[in-house]
Amino acid sequence: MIRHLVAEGMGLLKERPLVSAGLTVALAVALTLGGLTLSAALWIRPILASGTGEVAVAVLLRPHLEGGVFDQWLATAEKAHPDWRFRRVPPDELAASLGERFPYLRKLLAEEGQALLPPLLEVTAPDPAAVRTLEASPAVLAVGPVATIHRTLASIARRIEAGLTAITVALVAIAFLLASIWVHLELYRHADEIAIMRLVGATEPAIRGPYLVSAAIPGLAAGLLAAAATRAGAGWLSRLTTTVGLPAIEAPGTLLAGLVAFGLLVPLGAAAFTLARHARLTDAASL
Amino acid sequence: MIRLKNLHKSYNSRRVLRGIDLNVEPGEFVFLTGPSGAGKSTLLRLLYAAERPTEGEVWVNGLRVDTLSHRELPRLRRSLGVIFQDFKLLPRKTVLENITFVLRFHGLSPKEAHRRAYLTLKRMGLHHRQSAYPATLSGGEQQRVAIARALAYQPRLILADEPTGNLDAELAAELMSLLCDINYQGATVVVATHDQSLLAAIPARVLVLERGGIGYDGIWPP
Ligand SMILES: Nc1ncnc2c1ncn2[C@@H]1O[C@H](COP(=O)(O)OP(=O)(O)O)[C@@H](O)[C@H]1O
Ligand SMILES: [Mg+2]
Repeated sequence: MIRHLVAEGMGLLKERPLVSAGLTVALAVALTLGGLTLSAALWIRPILASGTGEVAVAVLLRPHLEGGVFDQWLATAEKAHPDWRFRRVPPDELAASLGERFPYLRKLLAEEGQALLPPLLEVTAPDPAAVRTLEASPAVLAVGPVATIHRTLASIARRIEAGLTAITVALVAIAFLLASIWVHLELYRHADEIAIMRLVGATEPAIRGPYLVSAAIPGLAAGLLAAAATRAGAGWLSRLTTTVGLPAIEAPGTLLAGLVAFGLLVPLGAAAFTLARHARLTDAASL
Repeated sequence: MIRLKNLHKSYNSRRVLRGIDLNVEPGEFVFLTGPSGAGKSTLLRLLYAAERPTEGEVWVNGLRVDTLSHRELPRLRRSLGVIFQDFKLLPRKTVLENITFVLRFHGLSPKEAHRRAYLTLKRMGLHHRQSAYPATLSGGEQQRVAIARALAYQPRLILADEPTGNLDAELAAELMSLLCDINYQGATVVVATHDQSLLAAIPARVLVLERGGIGYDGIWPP
C-alpha cells in the first residue's frame, strides 16, 4: 500500500521533472537560509546574554596603598555593598594586558610592574552606575565608565536575533506557499481525473495520498539537502569568524534534524491544507 | 431498489425534471428513453449523486442519496456500476489499470484484481488492448472499457447512460445480451438511451421522459 502510494507520488513528480526539481531546490534554498539564520541566531545569543547580565566596572585605587590598608578598605567596601562582587585584578594579569597594548613597555612592566601599577578592582554590581559612588572614597583614584557599549550591543543583538527569527519564519512561510502552489497546480492539472476517481467510488485518502507523497518526497529531499548545506555553510562562516577571534558558528544536530523534519512536514502540511480546501471547493461545484 | 419522490431538477431557470415519482424493484430491467435533452442523463446523475435535486427525494439501495454526506458518497458509488456517457476513463492509467484501480476499492488483492479485470476485458473482447492507454483507443473500444469497469465487480445495480452510443449494431446487440444475462443473474439494470431500436430487442419495462415527466411506463411497443 505504502509502496503503491510512493510509486503514484513519484509518477506525479516524474510527469514534470523540471518543475519537481525546481520545487526541491527552492524548498532547499529556503530551508538552508532558515537553517543558517537560526545558526547565526544561536551564535549571537551569548553576546545577548553578556549584555543582559551584570557588568564589571573598573575601580582604580591610589597606588602605594599598603597591603594592610588595601585589605581593610576592601573589607569595608564589601560590607557596605553586600550585593556587589569585588575582584582584584592580579598585577601580572594587568601587566600582561598593558603589555599587549604597549609592547615596548613589556620589559619595564615585567620588572617593575608590581610596584608601578596601582591596584585595580573589578566590581560587578546589579546597577553598575551605583559603583560611581565609590569615587567619594579618598582611597579611590578613579571609577571606570559604566560600559554602555555592552547595553548597546545587547540591544543590537536582540534586534538582530528578532530580525533573524522573522526571516526564518518568512522563509518557512515561503516554503509552505511554494508547496501549496505546487499541489494546487497539480490538482488543477488533474482535476478531471480526480472527479472521475470520486465518481467511481474512490475514498478521499486514496485520492489525496499520491499528492501528499508527491509533496513529501521533494520536501524530504530538500530537508536533507538543507541540512547538509547548513552544516557546510556554518563551517565556512566559522572560518571567517574564528579568524577575527569570534567563536565558531555551530549547526547543532537538533537543528539539522529539525531542518529535515521541517522539509518533510511543511510541504506535507501545505499539501494537506490545499487538498482539503480543494475537496471542499470541487464538491461544492459538482453537487 | 430505486425510489424517486416528487423529484424536481432545474438548471438556473430551466426546469428539466418536474415532479417525477418512480419505483424500480430489484431485478428489473428498465429502459429510460426520450428525445435528446429530455433529462435522461440528469436523472441518472441524480441517482449516483453527481448532482442534487432541486426538490424531492432520491432513494437507492435503501440509501437516501440526495442528502448523503461527502463521506458516504464512496459507499453509494461502490454499490453501483455506472457506465458513463462520456466513459470517464483515467487517462494516465492503462486499460487494465483502469479496471484494477476500481476493483482494489472492493478489497480484492492486486493479483485477484488483475485476474478479474483481465477476464472482464476478455469478455468485452478487449484483452489484447490491456496495456494501451485510453487515448489510443477508438470510441467503441473506450466504451467497452467503461462497460468492463462497471461490470467487473458485479454490482447489484447497473446504470448505463447511452452504453451503445459508440458501438456498431453487432456490438450493441452483444452488449444488450450481456446486460440481459447480468439481469437474469439478479442485477437490476437501468439503460438510458434515445435509440428506439434497442427497446424492441428486449421485453423490458420502458420509461419515456417527456416534458420533465414520465410520459409512458410499460412494455414496448405500447
Ligand atoms: N450542468 C448543466 N447545466 C445546465 N444545463 C444542463 C446541465 N446538464 C444538463 N443540462 C440541460 O438539461 C437538459 C437535459 O440534459 P440531459 O439530462 O443531458 O439530457 P439527455 O441525457 O436526455 O439527452 C438539457 O437541456 C441540458 O442542456
Ligand atoms: Mg444524455
